[in-house]
Amino acid sequence: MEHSVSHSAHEHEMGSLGVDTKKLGMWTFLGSEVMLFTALIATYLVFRGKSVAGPTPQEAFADVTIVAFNTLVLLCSSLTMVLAHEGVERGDRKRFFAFILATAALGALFLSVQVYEYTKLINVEGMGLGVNLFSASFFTLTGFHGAHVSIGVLLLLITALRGWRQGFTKEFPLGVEMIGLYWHFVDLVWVVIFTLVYLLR
Amino acid sequence: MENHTQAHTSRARTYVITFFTLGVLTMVEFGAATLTGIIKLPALVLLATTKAILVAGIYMHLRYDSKVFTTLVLMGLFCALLLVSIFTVVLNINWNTEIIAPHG
Repeated sequence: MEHSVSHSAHEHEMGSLGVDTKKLGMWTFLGSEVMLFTALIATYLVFRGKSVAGPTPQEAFADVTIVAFNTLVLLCSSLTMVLAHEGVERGDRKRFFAFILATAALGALFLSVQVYEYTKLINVEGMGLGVNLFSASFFTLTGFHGAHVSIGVLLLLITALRGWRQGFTKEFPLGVEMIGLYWHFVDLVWVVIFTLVYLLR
Repeated sequence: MENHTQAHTSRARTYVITFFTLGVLTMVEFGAATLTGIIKLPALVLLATTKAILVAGIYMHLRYDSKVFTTLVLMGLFCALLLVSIFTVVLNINWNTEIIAPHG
């Protein structure tokens, strides 16, 4: 089975490490993002059981069916993203546009469900940024993640627009790969949040 | 040319299989959340780690790309684990899976 990532059509600038400098920059950025989210998740874990008044994680996350659905939405968007990248590698415009727009739509669906979930948590469960330590750290963590998804959706739409207006230029596949790395990272962070926040209640 | 097309088809198949594996693991995780006692935390962490490895290895191409990127990720993870360990010891992270009532 041939699995090596084809880069023949890419515009590469190799650094002294023998890897593309733009890609190295992206991975370094993602490394710093790992630290940001680790700090936010660790803070949540410290605070989740230290509130002097409710609601508690057990009360707020008694039913996480909708969050599990949202997790599947984000996992599905990772599949469409990687298929969009593959479409560019193939030079298949139809495939690329179909999958990148599907990724953006799934990202928007994830955000809509998150807004619905927030509304329910605030109105029904009585949560809020100023309510207790658990609520504050929960909204900070998931809010930061939601902001990352929003930026991702914007970047996907900009990339689709760029591909449509300028066509598949030499550096375009690498650009799509960069957006893909960012998008999969956001998905990966959600995998951790889903487990440590919603399931470990 | 034919080999190239075959390689793309094979890769697309791998991506779809990965997606279904991730979906099944999420469902298993959902079930594992109902577990009680000491097994719950390691079970959930193991499932989440497997999912994270699949996303990073297959979708982010770490498995097929230069080992420089894998090294960068491992360094980031090491720092992340160090931070969580320090928080656990110094700030007393409660890893108890059953937090029931607020204290005070």
